[in-house]
Amino acid sequence: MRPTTSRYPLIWRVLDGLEAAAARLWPRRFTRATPVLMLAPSLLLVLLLVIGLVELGDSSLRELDTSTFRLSATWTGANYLKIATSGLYWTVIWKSLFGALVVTALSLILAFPYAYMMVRTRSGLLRKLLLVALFLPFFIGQVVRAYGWLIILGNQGVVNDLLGLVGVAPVRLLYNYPAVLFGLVQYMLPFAVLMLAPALTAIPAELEAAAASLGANWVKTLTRVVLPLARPGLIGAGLVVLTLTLTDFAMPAILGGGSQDFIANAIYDQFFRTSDQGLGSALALVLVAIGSLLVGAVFTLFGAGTLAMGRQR
Amino acid sequence: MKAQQRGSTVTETTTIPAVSVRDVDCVFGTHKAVDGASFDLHKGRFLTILGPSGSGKTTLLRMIAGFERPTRGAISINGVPVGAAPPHKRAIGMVFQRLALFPHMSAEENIAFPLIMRRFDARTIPDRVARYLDLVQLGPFARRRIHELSGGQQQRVAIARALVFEPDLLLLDEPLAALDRKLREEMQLEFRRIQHELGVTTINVTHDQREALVVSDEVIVMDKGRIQQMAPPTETYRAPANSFVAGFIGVTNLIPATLLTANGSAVRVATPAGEWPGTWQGQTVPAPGDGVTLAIRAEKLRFAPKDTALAGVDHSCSATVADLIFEGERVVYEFSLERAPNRTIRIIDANPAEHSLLARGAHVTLGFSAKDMLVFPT
Repeated sequence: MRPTTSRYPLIWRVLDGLEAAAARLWPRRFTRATPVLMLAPSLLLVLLLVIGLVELGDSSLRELDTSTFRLSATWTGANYLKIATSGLYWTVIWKSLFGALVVTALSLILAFPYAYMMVRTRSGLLRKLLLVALFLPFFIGQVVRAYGWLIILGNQGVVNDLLGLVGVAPVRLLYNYPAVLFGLVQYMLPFAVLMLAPALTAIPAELEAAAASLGANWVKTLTRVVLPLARPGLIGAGLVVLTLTLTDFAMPAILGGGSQDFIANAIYDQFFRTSDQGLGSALALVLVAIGSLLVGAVFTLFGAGTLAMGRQR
Repeated sequence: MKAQQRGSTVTETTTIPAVSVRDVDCVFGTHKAVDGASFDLHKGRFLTILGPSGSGKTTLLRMIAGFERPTRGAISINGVPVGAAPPHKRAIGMVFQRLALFPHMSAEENIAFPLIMRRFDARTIPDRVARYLDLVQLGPFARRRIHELSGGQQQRVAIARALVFEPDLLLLDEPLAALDRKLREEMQLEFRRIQHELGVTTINVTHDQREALVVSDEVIVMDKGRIQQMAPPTETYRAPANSFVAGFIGVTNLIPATLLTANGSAVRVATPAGEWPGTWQGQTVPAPGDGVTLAIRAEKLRFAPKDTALAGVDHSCSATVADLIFEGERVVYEFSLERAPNRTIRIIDANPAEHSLLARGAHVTLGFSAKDMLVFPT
């Protein structure tokens, strides 16, 4: 006798139906092509990006005619020459690059103890608190957070009010390079912690106990055991923070007040203020090149395998 | 460090125990993991702490290593109280449950690690590492990464790493639990060989009663945070201190009963299967009517086909074969007693060729001697 199917939950029967439909649409003999099918959406995305890049490359080679406000019909290297010879753009590039490196280093230094505490604490309550504190900033956009710093650090801000109470004259805490870096570190910290936490979870606590029983104090345990094993996480977190900082727009714009431009701000100015699409495109490609070179350098130095990809360690 | 030097210059080192544990409690919240543990272990002895999971054996070991602090009581190593000294200030080698080898180092780097951490003369380190690699028969594998070694080889690296700095004490935290039986038995003998060769005082923690009997000079049996018995393996097996030890080691039949009469250590008890003779094991003199537990080892019982006389037994009763488990070198029978059919008695027949295998349901006569029927207070 055929068993009745009505006893099974509805969701099972729905899924069975979907499976049958899928089998009709994508028969078994197509199985070998399945990986390609799964890659298709991302391939499409990359393709769109490439089209955009080609478009950018094309406009970057056309100079803006200031009398007609039209891009030149023929290709020229004038935009790149302008970037290379102008002190202004060198300063912007240098500021972005140096800022990205400093922010990356500071974020990793601050994120490591946070992630370590979150992973290793025996108290479930503390872990939850740390997690909430980590995710809370994600619910508040970057711009709102930067505006918050304006309120706190401004000339009539909380900090200067407090300083006034002890008789210190207002200090200009905003619109300078350190203020931008400060805001960026605060913005990047959750990303770094989120990237580090799984890497630290993968290190058994027993290894640290073993190091202690073998005679290592906590400093030696950290430098000889924990840090080497956390390297993939540190590199991953570093790459994310580095690229996000290098291309950041809001923090330099708001906390720098126009005086501390990063490359993204310069690009914005060219596209939307000067309407020099050619120079903007050239700057954008320079940014892409710098970012790619940095990521490439990290991969050559440490190997792609350190990101826990490729060969099993 | 100074304190340790003072300890080793005392002339009569033989009288000072290598490890001395005095009235140690360890309380986690409301849970008393270790309750009033006391024992002395002399230099060069191999002690196994045996107990079911949750008996407090690992907590006791972790307190000796310095990973946990006793809530009460004192622990001394070579006569020096260790108190709150952190693990890295103690000269203790430990092999961990999951070995805890460093995956980013080779076998020899793992073994050199404690030497570097403990500031041994850098010129002597390579020789010493090579010597200990040879001791655990891993010479050719020195350069291998940890994940390139087999389970047994990893065990050997862990042992060499724990011993290479010549610690006062070697602690083994169930490192063999994850191995398959054959490899485990091989490693048990390997532990014993190395321990004999180096003469290092060793404390091993396990829930494997066979391992405890095979490797140790002394066995501590723990249950519910308390030390139940500390004795050499033969004594633990032959003269268990209480019904828990009797039941935990070996294949033992435990039967609840009531005491009827006592004449010195010779007692008679009422069991579900009638009145049986036994030998009193308690410290105090029992009173008739007391609840007691009978313990009899599965290999101490004898049986014969029904209506065949069993010579040299003090008591016999009728039973049927409920089940039989053929294990190759021995057969384990489960008999159900005629007068108490719900109660099964296990008997190990270590010489199956002597009997033809009995079939399920076959009627037999069981017999035992009063000296093998151990009677414990409940």
